[in-house]
Amino acid sequence: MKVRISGIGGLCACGLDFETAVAALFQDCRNPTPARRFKLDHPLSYPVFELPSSSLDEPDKNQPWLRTSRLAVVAARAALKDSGWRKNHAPITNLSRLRVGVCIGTTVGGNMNDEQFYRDFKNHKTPGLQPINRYLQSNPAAVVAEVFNLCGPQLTVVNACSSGTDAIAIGTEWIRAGICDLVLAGGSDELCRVTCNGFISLMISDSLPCRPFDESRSGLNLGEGAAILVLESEKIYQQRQLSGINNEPTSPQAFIAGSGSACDAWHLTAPHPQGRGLRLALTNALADAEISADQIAFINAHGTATLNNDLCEGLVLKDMFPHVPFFSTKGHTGHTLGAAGALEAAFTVAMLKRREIPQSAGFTKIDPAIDHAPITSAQTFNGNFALSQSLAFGGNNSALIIGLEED
Amino acid sequence: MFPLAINGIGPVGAFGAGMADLKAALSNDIKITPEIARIQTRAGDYDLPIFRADSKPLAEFIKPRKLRRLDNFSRLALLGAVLAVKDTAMDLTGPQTGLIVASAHGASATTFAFLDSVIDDGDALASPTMFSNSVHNAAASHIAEHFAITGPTLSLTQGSDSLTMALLTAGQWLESGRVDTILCGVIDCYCDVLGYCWQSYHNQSKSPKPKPAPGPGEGSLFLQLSRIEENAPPPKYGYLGRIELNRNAPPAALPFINTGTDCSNQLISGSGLKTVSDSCKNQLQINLNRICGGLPVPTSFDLAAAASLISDKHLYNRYDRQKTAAVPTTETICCWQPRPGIRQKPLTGNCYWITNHADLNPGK
Repeated sequence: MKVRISGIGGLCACGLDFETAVAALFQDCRNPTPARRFKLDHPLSYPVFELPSSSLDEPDKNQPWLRTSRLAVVAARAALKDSGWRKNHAPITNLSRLRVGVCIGTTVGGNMNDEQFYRDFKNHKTPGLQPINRYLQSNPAAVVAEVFNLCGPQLTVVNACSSGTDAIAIGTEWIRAGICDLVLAGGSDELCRVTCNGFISLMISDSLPCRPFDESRSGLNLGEGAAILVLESEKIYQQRQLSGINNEPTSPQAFIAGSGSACDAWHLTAPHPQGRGLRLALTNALADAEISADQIAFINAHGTATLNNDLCEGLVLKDMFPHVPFFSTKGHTGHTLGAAGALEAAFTVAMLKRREIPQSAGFTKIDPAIDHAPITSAQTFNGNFALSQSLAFGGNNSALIIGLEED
Repeated sequence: MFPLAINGIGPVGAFGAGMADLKAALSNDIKITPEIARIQTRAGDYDLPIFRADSKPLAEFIKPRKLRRLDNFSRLALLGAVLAVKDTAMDLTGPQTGLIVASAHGASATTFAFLDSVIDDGDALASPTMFSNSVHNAAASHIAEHFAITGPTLSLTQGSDSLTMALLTAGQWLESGRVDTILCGVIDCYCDVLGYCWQSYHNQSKSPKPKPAPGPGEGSLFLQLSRIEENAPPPKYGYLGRIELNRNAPPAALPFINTGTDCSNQLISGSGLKTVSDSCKNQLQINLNRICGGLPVPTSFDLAAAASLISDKHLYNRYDRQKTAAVPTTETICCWQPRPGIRQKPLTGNCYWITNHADLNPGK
C-alpha cells in the first residue's frame, strides 16, 4: 500500500527551516563550532553543529518542554503547513475527525538527565522538582499530539541513531494496517552536555570538522535538529484531491515505498564487521518496496565519520549497490542522533524532487580499506527511488526506500 | 492483527523470578519484604519501602563473565527475556524473530552513574561503560546478542502506555509477516533519584486519597508472542486480544455497573485501577502493588497475572470490594491504564485484553 509523504518540516544547524537547510547542503560551507549553550572541559575542543540562536533556546510558558520536544513541535508545525492541513496559524480542526498518530524518534528526549538537578541531589540540597516535571511532560510524541490535539497512537522510539528512520517505518505501518489515516513521523534531538561527554568518552568524537568516508576520518561531530514527515493514506489523499482547494497538499508526490530493519546481534557499540544486519535490513527494504537494487537512484548514507561505521557501511554499499551514487549529509548537519534518520529521509525526498544530490561534505580522499567513494560534487540522477539508511548503537540497522511518482 | 498467542512469560520483580514465583506471591505463599530507604526531602526524612528485584538468578543461565559489563537495567531485562524463552522452549535465533523492549524511564540509574563519573572525576574522565549502558536500547542489544536475534529490534518509551504500545507494535509486525515470533517486554528500575521524586511528590500531594502503592518498585516482564496457527494447540497462557486506545473507563463494565448485571467474566486489573476504583466498585480487581510496588508502567505485571488466571482458571488474591462469590470462570480480562495527568471526565486510557478464546473479539 502506498503511503504518501504529504508534508515535511525540519530544522538543523544549516537552517532553521527546511528549505534553507536543503539549500545549504548544496553550498560549500560548513562551520561546526564549540557548543554555545554549555561548556565542556576537555584537553581538546570538540565542535558541534548547533542550531543558530533563537527563541527555541529556553523553555517558556508557551513551550515548557525539553528542547528536544520544542524542536519536534516546530518541525511538526512546518510539516502540517507544508502538507496543506494547516494554513498559517489557523487551527487544524479538520484533523480531529481523523485518526492521526504521532511517532517520533529521539535519544536525549527520552532521558532523565538534568545535570544541575543531579548535582544538587548528590550534594543533599533537596532540589526542586521542576526539571523532573519538565522531563515527565516532555515525551516528544505526547507533546506533539497534545499541541496539535491529535488522538491517535503516540510512540517515542529510542533506537539510538536509527530512531528517526524506525519512527517513519512504524508510522508507515500504522497507515498500512489501517490504524491511522495520517501520521506525523520523524525524529528530534537536542545537543546536551551528557551526550557530548558520552561520545567523547567513547573516543569517537572528532576535534575537527567530520569527514565521512574519508581516509583521514577520526570521528563524528554531534548535531541537533528535528524533522517530521506527514504520512498520509492513499484514501485520505484522494479524498483531499476530490474535496476541493481547502486542504490541497503542496508537495504530494513522494511516498514511502518500503522499509527494512535488522539487528547485528553482535556487539553493543561496534557494527558487525561484514555488516550482517545492514545487509539484511537493505534486503528487506527492497523486498518490501518490490524493487531491485538497480532501481535505486542514490543513497543517503548514514556516514557518521567514525572508523567502524563508515568501514562497515562502505563495504556493504560497495557490495550491494556498486554503481549507485551515495553521500553523507552529516558533514553539514553533524550527527543529530535520534533526528538523523528523519532529517536524512526528509532530505532524500527533497533531492528526489530537486533531481539533484549534493557532494558528500568532508570527503576528499578514498579509504583503501573501503575502496568505494561518495560523490564529491553535486550531480543529477535518473530514477525515482532512493534509499536512506541508519546504523545504530546496539546493532540496529534500518532503511527506508522513498519513491517519487512519475509525472 | 489480534489475537496473538501468548506462549511464554518471564516476570521479574520483588516477588522473585518466573511465573511460579509470581503465582506464589499472588497466593500469599511468599511474603514480600521491601527494602527500606531513608529519603531526605525538603519536608523531612522518610523511610520509603522499595520493592527491589534481584537479577542474581541470571547466573543460572549466563556465565558471570559475560555479565560483568551489564548494568542492573540490562540484567533485569535479560533475566525476564531468558525466563520467557525458557517458559516456551522455542528457538528464537535468526531474522524471523522480532524484539521489542519498552521502558518508561530507561536506564536512569546508569545515566546518573555516568553523571557521577563526570561530577566526581571531570568531563575528561567520564565513564564510557556507563554511557554505553545508559543508552535506551542497550538492554535490547544485550538480549539480541544473547539469543542471536537478527530480526527487527525496537526500544520505545511512552510513559505508562509503554507496554501497550509495545504490544500494538508486536501485533503489527506479526500481522504484516515481518516476523514469525516476537520477544516483547517492559523494564523499569529503581534509582535513588526516583525514590526522592516519589517521596517529594507524595509530600506535595494534598489529596486525602491513599498512595497508589506502598512504595516504588522495579522489574521486568517479557512475553513470547506469535500468530495463531491453524490447528495449533492452545497457547500456554491464552491469547492477547485486541488493544484499544483512548477507551473510556472501565472498559465494557459501565453498562454492567449501571444495570447491576453480574460482570464476573470481566475483570479489570492493575495498579492504575485505584484512580477509577470508585467508579467501578462492582468490578473484580486484582491488586498487584503489594507484591511488586508501584511501577512507572503500572500494567506491567497485570498481563502476567491475567494470563495465569486465564490459564490456571484460578483467581489469585482476589480484591473484591463487593465480596461476590463468582469468578474462576473468568474468560476475559481487561488491563486498562488511564492516561496520566488527564483530569477530564470520563477518564480515557489504553487497554489490552487477555482471553482464552482464539476467535473471541473480547469486550464487543
